[in-house]
Amino acid sequence: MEAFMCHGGPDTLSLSPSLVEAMCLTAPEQLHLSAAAMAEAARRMERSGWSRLPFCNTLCSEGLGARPVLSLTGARVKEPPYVSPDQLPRAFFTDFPRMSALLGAMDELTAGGVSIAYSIEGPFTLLTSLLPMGKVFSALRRPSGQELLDLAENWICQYAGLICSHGAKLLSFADPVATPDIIGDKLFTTVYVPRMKKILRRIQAENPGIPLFLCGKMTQGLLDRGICRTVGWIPHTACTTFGQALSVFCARQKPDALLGHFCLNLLDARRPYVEEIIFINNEEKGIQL
Amino acid sequence: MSRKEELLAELDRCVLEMEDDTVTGVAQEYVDAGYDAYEGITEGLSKGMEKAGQLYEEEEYFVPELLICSDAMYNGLDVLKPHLKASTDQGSKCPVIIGVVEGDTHDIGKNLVKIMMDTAGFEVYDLGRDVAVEAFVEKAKEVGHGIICMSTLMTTTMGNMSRVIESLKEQGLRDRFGVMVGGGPLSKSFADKIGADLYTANAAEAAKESKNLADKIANS
Repeated sequence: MEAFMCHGGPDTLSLSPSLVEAMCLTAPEQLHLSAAAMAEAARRMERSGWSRLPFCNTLCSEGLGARPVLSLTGARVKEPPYVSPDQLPRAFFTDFPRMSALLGAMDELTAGGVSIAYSIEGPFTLLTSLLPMGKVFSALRRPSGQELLDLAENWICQYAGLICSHGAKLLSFADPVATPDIIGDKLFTTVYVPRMKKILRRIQAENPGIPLFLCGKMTQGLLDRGICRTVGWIPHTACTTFGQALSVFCARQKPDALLGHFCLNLLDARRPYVEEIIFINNEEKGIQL
Repeated sequence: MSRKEELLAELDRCVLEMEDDTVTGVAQEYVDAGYDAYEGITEGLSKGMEKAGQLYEEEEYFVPELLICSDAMYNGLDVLKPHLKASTDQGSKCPVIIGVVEGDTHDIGKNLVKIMMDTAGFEVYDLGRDVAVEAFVEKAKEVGHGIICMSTLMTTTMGNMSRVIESLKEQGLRDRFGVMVGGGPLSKSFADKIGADLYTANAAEAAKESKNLADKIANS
């Protein structure tokens, strides 16, 4: 099996300068606060049958108190809004202008029959956008660390549920902060992976019929440590690209599907198959995922 | 072993073993006993941080461990710093202005370099992440001389590094600062191309090489 190599593209989908110009966008608000503009941009960036959203990785953290700086190519949180875990909010707030615009764009795209692949972030990336990284890792060493992860799990699942209820056909899950080369094998295997599996399982249970796609870099980290294996799936219908194969797979509505070992930045790649992720421990116990 | 030596060893251990709460009590006991605060930093906290850096290089420690060690070091510093004697000759510290360039918020690498430079004895001014070109230059005007250290993980924001260098030239500040760059997509050839003085591939190397750069600046 071929190892996945991340080519280090941007963490998030962003608009190219030519698209910004073509859409006559001159201020970030014209994109981020307009459902119509966001839907139009997503349509224009369609690849192999998929439109991707959102154009940043800050929406969930904004709903938790972060104040992102908007730009025409995305949005970013300049500094974490909290200094201590006890300041974190319990609930994820969904009623704010950018979220309304995003959900409006999703409704518009879904009504037009567009397939949306939506990217969400895992607990480590989310927590480190809200708190200084050292505070997060320090808390994880203490018993209260599990409470912190419980909080993050709830936020992520609530966010995923909201997105699925507005028509996402596929959820992509990535956690760039949680790679073994950053956090080390021990934290990755003993703390991160069990929690990630719990989150994935919960998202699937709460949103049946929506496949999940695990970032290729994360998949490779799991494969390298013998935590999962992959099973290739080749569609019977003629496909030429990865995105087309993904569409055919998703049409099967297999409720517990977890895909991965590739990258949604490469939807047009000449790779007409997908790979399912099977967690080895669970398989041995006879439990799906 | 004298009590002072015991406390110094304990400060060292607290940092190395990530005892970020315990360290403050040890530091307090150390200053309450009237021992020299500067020695507490150099022979206690910094020693622990140096060992942590070594373990990071050897891949025994990773980013989380190094960050918690540094939190412990800074917690200890908060207690010891107010007790530094004004007359203590701490040598001339080379100022370092550090930040992630505008458009990027990935600051893991920058934070590691900051920790290593703090430990190595530099006077570090951390501008944070997503730092505008003008902010680097303004800080350079304020500090007057030293090293400017910039990082980014994104190809789309690498250009801001050369903008900082150009702006330093325009303001007549370039000769007074060594410029070093680092981050995922960078290379030595990129650093050479934009006119930076130094490129390093990791935090430990950055701290070591910046000492040479500081010497060059001091001797120029």
